[in-house]
Amino acid sequence: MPEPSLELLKGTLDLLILRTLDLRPMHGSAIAERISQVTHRAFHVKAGSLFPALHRLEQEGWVEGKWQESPEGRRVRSYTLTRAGRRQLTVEKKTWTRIVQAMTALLESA
Amino acid sequence: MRFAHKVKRLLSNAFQRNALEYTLDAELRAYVDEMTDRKIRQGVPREEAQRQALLEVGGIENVKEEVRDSWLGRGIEATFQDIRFACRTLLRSPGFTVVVVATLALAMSSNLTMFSLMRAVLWRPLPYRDPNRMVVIEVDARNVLNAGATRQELIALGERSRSFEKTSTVDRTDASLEYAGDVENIAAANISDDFLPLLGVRLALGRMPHTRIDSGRQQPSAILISNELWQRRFFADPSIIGKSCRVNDLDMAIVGVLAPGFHLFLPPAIIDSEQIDVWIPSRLDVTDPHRGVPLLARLRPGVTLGQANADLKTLAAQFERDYPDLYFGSKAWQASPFDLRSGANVRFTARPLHEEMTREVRPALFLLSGAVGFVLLIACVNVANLMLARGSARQREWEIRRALGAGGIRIIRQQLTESLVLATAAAALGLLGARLALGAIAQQTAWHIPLQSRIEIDAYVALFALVLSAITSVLFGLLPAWRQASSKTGRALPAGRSETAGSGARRLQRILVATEIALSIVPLVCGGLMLRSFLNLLHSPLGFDPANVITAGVPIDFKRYPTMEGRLALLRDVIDRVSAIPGVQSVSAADPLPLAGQERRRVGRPDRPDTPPILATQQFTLPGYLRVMGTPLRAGRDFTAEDLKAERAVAIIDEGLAKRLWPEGAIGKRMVVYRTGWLNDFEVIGVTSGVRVTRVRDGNVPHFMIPYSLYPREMSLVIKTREAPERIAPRIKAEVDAAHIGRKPLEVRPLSDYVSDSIGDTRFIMFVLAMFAGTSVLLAVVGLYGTLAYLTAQRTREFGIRMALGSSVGAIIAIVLKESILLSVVGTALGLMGVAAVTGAIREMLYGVRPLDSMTLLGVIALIGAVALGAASVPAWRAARIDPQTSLRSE
Repeated sequence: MPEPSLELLKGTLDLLILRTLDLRPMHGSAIAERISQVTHRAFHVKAGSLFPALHRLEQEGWVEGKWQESPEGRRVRSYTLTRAGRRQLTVEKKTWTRIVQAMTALLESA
Repeated sequence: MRFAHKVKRLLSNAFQRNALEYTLDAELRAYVDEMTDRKIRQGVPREEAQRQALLEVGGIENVKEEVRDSWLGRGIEATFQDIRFACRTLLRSPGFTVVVVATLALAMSSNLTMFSLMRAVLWRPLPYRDPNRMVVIEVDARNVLNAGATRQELIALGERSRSFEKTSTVDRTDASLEYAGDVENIAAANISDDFLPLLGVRLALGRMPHTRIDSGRQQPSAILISNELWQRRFFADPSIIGKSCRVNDLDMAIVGVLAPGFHLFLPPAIIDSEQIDVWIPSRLDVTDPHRGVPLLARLRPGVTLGQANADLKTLAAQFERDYPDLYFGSKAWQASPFDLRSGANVRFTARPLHEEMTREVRPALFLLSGAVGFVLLIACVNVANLMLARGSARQREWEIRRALGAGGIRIIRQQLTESLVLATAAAALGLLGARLALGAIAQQTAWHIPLQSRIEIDAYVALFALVLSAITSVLFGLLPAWRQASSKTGRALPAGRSETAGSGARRLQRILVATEIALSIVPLVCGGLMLRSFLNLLHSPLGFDPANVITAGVPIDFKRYPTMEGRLALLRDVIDRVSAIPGVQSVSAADPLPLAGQERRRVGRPDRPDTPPILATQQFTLPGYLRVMGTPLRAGRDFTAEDLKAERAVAIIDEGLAKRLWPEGAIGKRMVVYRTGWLNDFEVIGVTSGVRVTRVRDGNVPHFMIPYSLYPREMSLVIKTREAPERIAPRIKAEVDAAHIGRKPLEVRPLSDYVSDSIGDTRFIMFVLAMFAGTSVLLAVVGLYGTLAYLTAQRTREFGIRMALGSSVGAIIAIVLKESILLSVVGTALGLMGVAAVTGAIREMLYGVRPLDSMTLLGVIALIGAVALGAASVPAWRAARIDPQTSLRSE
């Protein structure tokens, strides 16, 4: 029995998606799958959060959706990271690092 | 960049909505399919796999709704939803909607009308080049305010002043234009060379006229014509330039045509018509010592009005020093020994042109604007009251909404949307109403509004309508909305049992009604004061009786009748002919007619050269004038034919002048009239009662009459007859024509026209104000009645209990009446405080009434009292008919 999936921290989903798309363009379920695999099933992204997030990122101009053929021969909407998205990823990574450092410092303080 | 991206997104979201929805749908379906496939591959049966996939997704529609929330422009869409919902709700109660929209539309159309007027008249810059630099220079000379400049001063100011780029003058005149055999009378103006360049006008054809080129032998030899005249008379023929026509029997070449759409906007005291068809360049004769030349100037760039006035002060002192004979001594203008005294004898004051143009209408415009502001406020309060009452009725709806999770903000937003929808509909109707009202204002002639041709509904007015609807919707919508949102939650939903409205709502309604009454008091008092002023004007003693007197202009051709004997004989002939028309009782002539233009002269006593002269109005009359006009002769006699024949220097003065010059009795005394460079000496032969010839308003302007025989002038007949003017006019014209005066007789008008013209502005403003006051009272009455009816209905149970416990019908009625009277007393008291603050501002528009006239105030209080009782009567009657049993059982 795997550990129960973690509650996603507010705002982290964007970072997860941007980071995942940094590798290569992917469609919705592939993104969810990938996040799940990489985090050893710690994060299980449901459609109810995934798609609103993807659309929000698209509205912001950070990712761009295009209809494509998936490896299994299915027509899927594949998302690509835009240049603005890449910049945003850098910014969010930095922010995240600071949060981690701050949290660690707090938790490990004597 | 990011902003541009967002705008692009917003637009594509708005306009490619279907594509967006389709994409979302396909994407989610693909996702569900993929999940299902995955589960099938894991060995789950197809149907079960599909069910599980859908379950995992959590409902496609839910996901879609959440995705949609992330789309830009979602807020706008929600607003549209609110608006659609508001419209549906409002249409469900058409009575309420119609009353509210009508109330607001009425108030808005009056506000939009006034805004259009204010914008066209006061705020929109004049259509000249750099209009802010244009000034009128007022000249006060030798103790006469606004005496006008001399020609020499005009030129000297232009040459010596460092503040002005150009100085010029203009003089309106009538001209006869003869071209291709047709003669017509047209509006013309004599202009100095800098006049048109000063305005910055453009030409359609040809060149500007200039006295250096266009003067032959003392007379101008060229004219500039208006575009309208060019179109109408010369059929827009471009080859007209250089052609000749006859203006006032002189040959003149047309050298230019003005650009289309040019209107002349000048202070009414200088020229009050916007359309001038012929412009005649006229050389300034510096040897002419007469005053009365209006001065127009353009400030140099960067020069302020203050600097210009300082400059003018220096120049005035220089002028007095350099031309002593112009400003001192017996040869100076309208010389009198009085003027020999030293001191400032001339003063120049530059004032902005636009301000001068609108000075006379400004108070009236502000008064009316204030009144419409009150109307709008009252309308808002009234509507707020209605919304409040409706809000109570919708209590259950809001309770349910709140129970379903609507937040306070959401409820306020929904209510404000409703208000906005109502206000916008009202504004649209208001624009329509304003259009009609402006059309009516353009038709009326009683109130002369400067810049009239520019009054229109333009983009600014439309914008103002939008702003107005936004402001009003907040004004009348926020209070009820806030009340709804802030009422306690968590209360059990009243299941159909009608509760008495909370005391808070009732108090608020009472406050609103009292406010409404207070607000309506101010326009009511202003209207009352104007009405009193108008009645006073109607009954003011004119010194003549305009009833049954008809006037007709008789322009004599001076070339054909060069001598005084000839003209007298001609006039005698005209009068005899007109007297012979059946129905005519008596005929005489005068110039100028009373209340139709004025001439002022300074008069005094020859034996008291040191007393300052008195400014009096002067009129030339023929024998019999007093009898036709019904002017009572207090002492002495009228002019006689012998006076004319012998050209006797005699004068008839009015009581006002007689009392000031000779309190002991004026008959036989000698009076001097100071004229330019010389003076006349007259023997006073008659004293009449006080005569008003300038305006009906001007009560004590001294007046004197002298016989026609002293100067050649065009006279107007005054004809006493019982016949209707329109019936007798053709016969009068025919008789005048038959006497061969050489010109066409001018219009035949009843004398009462001049009187009503003179008080026309007061009548018009009073009428409009009365309409506004009436509207505000009507609104206040509706508000008062509505509130009383509502409160009484709310208290049905209470009254039922009271009656059951033995209260009399009278006591119940008294409760309702007391409520009404209390509200009106509080409102009236508040309103009267407002009146005290406001009415002082309209002092100068009143006539014979003080701003806090007790009659008016009492009348208004009585009216409000009557209205309060009237509004209370129906609810009181209803309350009295309450049957205790039914009222208690109705629950």
